[in-house]
Amino acid sequence: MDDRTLVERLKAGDESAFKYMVTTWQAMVYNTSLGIVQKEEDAEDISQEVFVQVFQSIGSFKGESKFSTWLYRITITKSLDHERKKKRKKRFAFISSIFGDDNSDELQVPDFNHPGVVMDKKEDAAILFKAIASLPENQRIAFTLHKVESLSYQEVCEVMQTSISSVESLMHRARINLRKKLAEYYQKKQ
Amino acid sequence: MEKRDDMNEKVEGVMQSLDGIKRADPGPWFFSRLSQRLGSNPRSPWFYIGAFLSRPSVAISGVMAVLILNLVLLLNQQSEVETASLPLNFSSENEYITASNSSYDYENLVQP
Repeated sequence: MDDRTLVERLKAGDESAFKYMVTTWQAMVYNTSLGIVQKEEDAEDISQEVFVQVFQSIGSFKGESKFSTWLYRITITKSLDHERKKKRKKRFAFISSIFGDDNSDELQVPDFNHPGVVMDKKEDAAILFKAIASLPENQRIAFTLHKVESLSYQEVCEVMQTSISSVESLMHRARINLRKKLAEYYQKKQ
Repeated sequence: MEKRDDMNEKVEGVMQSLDGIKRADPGPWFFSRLSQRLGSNPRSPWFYIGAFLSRPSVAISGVMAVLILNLVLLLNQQSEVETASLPLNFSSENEYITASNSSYDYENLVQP
């Protein structure tokens, strides 16, 4: 089913088209979200929210971009919103810890193991994901889309609504920052 | 020097650890869980109103608006007090009522 037919059927409220859309794109949405939030339960929850949003706002999709690009944008927005909420909670937990209500242990992010990583690289990938989580937002999104979702620079620039040169620059800076953070990590370890 | 090379090697190894990564899947019955979520009872409008009002930006803006309104009302009140000028022929004697209405006064009323 091509994008236009799918969107038309979704707009008409066709349930089978909705099921087709979910089964086709669920892995893409889940994997993107997982790359950003780095927690499986949260990624599942966000993926559901993304499809609920698609169901509710398909009428506003004008077809100016590819359907998958639109899905990527919703997924990234939802995942970043989730991250911001989590940061706000952390800040609140810090304030409550000052007043004696210390529950910061619950909010500490454990090591994340992406299920799609090759077995012998799992440990290294967990270290890399920790470093990715500390990158600035734009660099993190560009790096995740390119490395975790295996999108080309052209596709990344369509999702991020920017130019290829900007994506190249973001990727370059992301790599520099990651190398720096990893070097610091190993220096501390020694 | 050897240590540095070793560290660089480790860093490069980590940087390449995502090569050949496969897409993660949300697991079986994702569509069923999603359908359940879509079919669940919609939340009441009060939930959305509460969620909207509890956003930090909305809450802070609300408090600021109330404070600004208070300040404006206070300044307006002060300027009204200042601008209410006294009449030119005003004397302090008019400010006090010196006559007393005692029972004696009623008794001595001049009868027509």
